[in-house]
Amino acid sequence: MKSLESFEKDLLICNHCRCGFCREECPAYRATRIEGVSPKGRMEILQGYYEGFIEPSEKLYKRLSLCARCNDCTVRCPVQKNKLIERFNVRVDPCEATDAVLADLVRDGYASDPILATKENVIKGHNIFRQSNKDRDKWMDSMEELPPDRYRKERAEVLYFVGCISSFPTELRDIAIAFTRILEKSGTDFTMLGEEEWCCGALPKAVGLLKEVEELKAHNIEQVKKLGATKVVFNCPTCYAMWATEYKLDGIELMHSTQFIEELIKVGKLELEAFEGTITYHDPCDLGRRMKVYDSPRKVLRSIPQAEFIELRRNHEEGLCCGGGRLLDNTHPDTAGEITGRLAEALMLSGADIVVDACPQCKRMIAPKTPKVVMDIVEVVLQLGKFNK
Amino acid sequence: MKKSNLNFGRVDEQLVSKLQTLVGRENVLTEVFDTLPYARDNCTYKWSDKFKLRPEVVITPEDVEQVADIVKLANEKRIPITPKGGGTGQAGGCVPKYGGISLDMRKMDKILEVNEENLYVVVQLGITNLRLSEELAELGYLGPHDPGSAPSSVIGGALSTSGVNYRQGVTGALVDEIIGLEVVLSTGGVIKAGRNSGHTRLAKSSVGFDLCHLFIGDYGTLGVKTEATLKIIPLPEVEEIHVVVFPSFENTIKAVQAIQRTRLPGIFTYTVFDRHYMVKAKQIYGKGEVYGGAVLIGFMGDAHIVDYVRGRAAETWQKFGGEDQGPEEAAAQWANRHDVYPTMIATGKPAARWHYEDPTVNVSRMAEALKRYHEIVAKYGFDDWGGEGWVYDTGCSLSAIMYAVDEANEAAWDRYVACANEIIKAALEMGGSISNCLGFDKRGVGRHNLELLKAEYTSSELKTLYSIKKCLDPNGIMNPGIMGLDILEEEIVA
Repeated sequence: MKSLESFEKDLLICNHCRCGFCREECPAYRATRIEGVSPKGRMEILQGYYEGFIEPSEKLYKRLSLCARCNDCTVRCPVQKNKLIERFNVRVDPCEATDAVLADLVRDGYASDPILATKENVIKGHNIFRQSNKDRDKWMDSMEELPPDRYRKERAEVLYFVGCISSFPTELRDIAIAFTRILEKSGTDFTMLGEEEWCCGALPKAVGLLKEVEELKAHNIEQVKKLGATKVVFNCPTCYAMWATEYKLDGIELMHSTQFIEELIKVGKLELEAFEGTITYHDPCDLGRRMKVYDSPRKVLRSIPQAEFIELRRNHEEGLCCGGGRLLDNTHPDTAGEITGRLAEALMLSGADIVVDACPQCKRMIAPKTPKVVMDIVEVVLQLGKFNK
Repeated sequence: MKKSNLNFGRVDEQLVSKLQTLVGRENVLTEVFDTLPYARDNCTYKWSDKFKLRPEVVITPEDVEQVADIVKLANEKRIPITPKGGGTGQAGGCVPKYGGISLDMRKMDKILEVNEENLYVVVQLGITNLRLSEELAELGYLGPHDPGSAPSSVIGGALSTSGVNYRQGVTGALVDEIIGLEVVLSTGGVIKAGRNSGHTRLAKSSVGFDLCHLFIGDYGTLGVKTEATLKIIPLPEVEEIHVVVFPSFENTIKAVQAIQRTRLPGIFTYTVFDRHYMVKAKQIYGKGEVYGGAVLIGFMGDAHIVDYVRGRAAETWQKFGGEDQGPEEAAAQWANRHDVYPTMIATGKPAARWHYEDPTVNVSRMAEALKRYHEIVAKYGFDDWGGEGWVYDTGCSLSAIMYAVDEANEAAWDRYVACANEIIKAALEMGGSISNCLGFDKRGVGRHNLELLKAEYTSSELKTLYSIKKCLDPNGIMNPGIMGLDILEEEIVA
């Protein structure tokens, strides 16, 4: 995790350029129309904070934490678009610079109540919800033919890291079940960590709980090493991105479910049955803009016989945020609701029968806001999949 | 914040409370972190001044009634009001020079009507130029305004600065496209300013003054614009861009003049650039050849007409040694035109930005103008980022020069200002105007001086400008300190 000092160059470049190309599509800015919420405005505020012109305060925390950390700003930024990033080794990342200030503010005692509650949850329960971590694998209880070991092995090639959001909210449990079945049916030697799986640290990091993040990371790293696993798979793009960018593990391959499924199809272990209808796909921010995984989910969905795949108007790196990043649904529910509403409107305009996502938090945000059928890609694959071990 | 002889009132708790009653608490922002992003636009400022020109309060109105209520109250209390759109201007137009209220117009961003029978669109002015273009394109129409800042600039700002755009050879500049405006006057009254009857949405009448054009390029000094009726045109069947290079910049201009004389239809841009520009482009993008001059020329219309026009234009440019660089180079150049902002990174100095001076001269003086600008930049020892021009079919042209200014190098500030002023003086000596599309003031690297205004206007003309301002805004609350009107106030009152 970088400190604000390490963003000094980002701040200087942005505060001298001031083009504002990041502003219009920033979901939090669109929802609030407050200049200081936009990436450009935030970079000006961060410069003021960095120079001591703006005092730390809880109000400042609240304003900055409206950033949904969707990374749309970085793809709009001409520094990135012009490939100047490669030629001159510069980049401007308002989302990550915001992370750094939020961490400062939390450290100095300016976090608001929902963040303090999350902190308590993470310390006591090692998850972001107010739940006992002993219940982390409770989602399995509804599974038929649940093996007695509840998918816990001492050693395995593959670790399925389920993540808090797929584990706890009851409405999302089918995602974890579906991916487990896919792993099982494909003959994968896999295991899970059960209560020894702790939050990956992504959401605590996004709200500034740095000390806690280090403990969570250290525990998870220890667990994966104990297993001797060579691969960790995720259905949650946020966990995947956190492991990929912050865990720094050599010799362990990290794969999102979409990549894992694409591989199964490629090696002939999986075929999909026909579906007569139209399907669209929503690019989750962490999978798309952060991890640049755009093709895998599309290859999987396009391999469904007879299905018509249609793109949303905003797709790939222009994909719309669901409003669920940085715990926005918890800390700023009205703003989160507005952001989700825009995505729900786009889904309606798509004309698709089925909306496929690849992120449990996106499904959690969208499903209640749209009459469309919303499914995680692993649920689709489980329903249509024919496995050849 | 400056002191003014207009004796402005201050924003106190009582006023904030009244404003909250008028527009709702959520639309009134007073925290330092909320006012700070309103202290600058895209003008060049001293780095140490970056937080200086903050408003005392930011208001984000949602409709014209709220704007009218705010303005009326501000007028009673003599509080300055500075409207703000995208904040991409380069003359400090949206920056509050005397504190007071920043009126952020971005919540008013709706398309109210697209009239396909009579070919106009009615929009609120907080909509970005890009979004309006995208929404109109969905319906089969060409957006009215496509400047380089399109993703972040708004129609309101373009009207207030009398902006120019890349397709104006076909669409016209906004000043040509406007049919009517809704304006909140300093009294809080709301008028429909038309050409000439405001309520009719007719592009032509001869009843009354042409009030509409009075507010174009006014920087919000005469009122707050809230809605506009603009002409639209159907999307062309074909739109294509060509980059044509020449052995010299003089030949580039001669070729453009010769093509213009043919009066061929559908040529939407003549953007010319010189050798200095190409040298820098090569440095930034790591590719491209350097020529004496080049023109980015665009054609649009029915395919067979475009074929004919391109053929005739090519015959003409070839006479002056012009060579078409092909579609790939043209597409790259066109994309670069819309993404030039952060290119100063190539200097290796994060605090550097390109400073843009934009005098107007007639096309016949264009080559001479750029030559003189380069000499001036060299004399002051600044890093020259090239000259460019936009040649309009009326013959006059934007003649711009870019050079690197390090906002953090305050020791060089007097030289930056002197260099800018010398460029302007050179343009004025060639019968030009101080600015084509950015505006007079240029806060920061400021030309806020009467000497330049007097070089462009006679004393009677300046008094006429001042009288119009005084008539519509007797208390001087509407964006004070811009367009030199405050200097006139001091001069004339003194």
